[in-house]
Amino acid sequence: MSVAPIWARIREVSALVALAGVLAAGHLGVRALSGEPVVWEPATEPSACELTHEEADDEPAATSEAIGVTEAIALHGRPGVVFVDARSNSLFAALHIPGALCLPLEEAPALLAHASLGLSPEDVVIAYCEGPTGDRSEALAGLLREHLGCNRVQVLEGGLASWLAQGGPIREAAAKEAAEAALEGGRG
Amino acid sequence: MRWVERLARWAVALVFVAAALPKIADPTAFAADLGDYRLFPAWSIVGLAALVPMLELVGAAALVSGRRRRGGAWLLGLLTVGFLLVIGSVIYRGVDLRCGCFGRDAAAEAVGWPLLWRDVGLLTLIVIAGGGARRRPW
Repeated sequence: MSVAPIWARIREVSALVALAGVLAAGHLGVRALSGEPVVWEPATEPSACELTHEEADDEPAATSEAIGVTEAIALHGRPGVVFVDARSNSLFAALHIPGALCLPLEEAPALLAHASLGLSPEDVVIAYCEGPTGDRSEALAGLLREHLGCNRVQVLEGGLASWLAQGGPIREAAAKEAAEAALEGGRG
Repeated sequence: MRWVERLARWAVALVFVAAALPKIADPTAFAADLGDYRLFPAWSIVGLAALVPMLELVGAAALVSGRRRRGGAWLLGLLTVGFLLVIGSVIYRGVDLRCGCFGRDAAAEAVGWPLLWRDVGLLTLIVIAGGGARRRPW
């Protein structure tokens, strides 16, 4: 078998990559010159919903009931029903269930130790994260029960992904606002 | 079956253009999404956020062009293999993430098995799209 066609492909792909590289550099340059440089800073907290199954095992006992998306959508907006977002501040700023409390899992122990967040033991609390594994919302549900004595904590099955798929109401930041929020989240 | 290849080419090109444009419009948001994967060194995030959508765009343009079609198919194929590895790593680590594949929109999909199978399907389509280039330029 001749290697010539392989070399031809490598050359072609290299040329395309080089072209993309030039365009990317140009794009970055233009944005920098127009006062909108592309910046990214590493987050100090674990990223949104980032929690391995092993880490989840280390969290307080979390045996929350799950609630289906359809039922959760029906409950949304009713008095005494509180949605709690376990994702990072930046993702919450970009997209969340209207009226939800932002309570990133990493900050939850410290926050819950000093404040009730307006939650009472009688409230129906529905914790959610990005989905589909729901590790973060499970862990947060355990913390809520432990710190606030909330006894009706449920975890949204399939997380925000399922909520969106089922057409649940959503509050979304404008793209620029979301990017700024993401950066703020990264710094914080 | 030239029409199948042509259809596959345009379908793949449209998918990659649709994926590239939101990321080009808002590279900062895409950089934040890339950072969430926790796979890439910090110094590479901004560069990747600018480069990946350009690779998608250039690959798509090449795929529907006359002479560079095979090169475009190879580029998009390699890119998709890269995406599959990243998705596989996320599934292996059991991390919940939105993929950011088509920008940071409301319908952003969570990274998981459905996304992996979708990309396997896309890769199959790319193979079909690149298959006819040896016979005819169009």
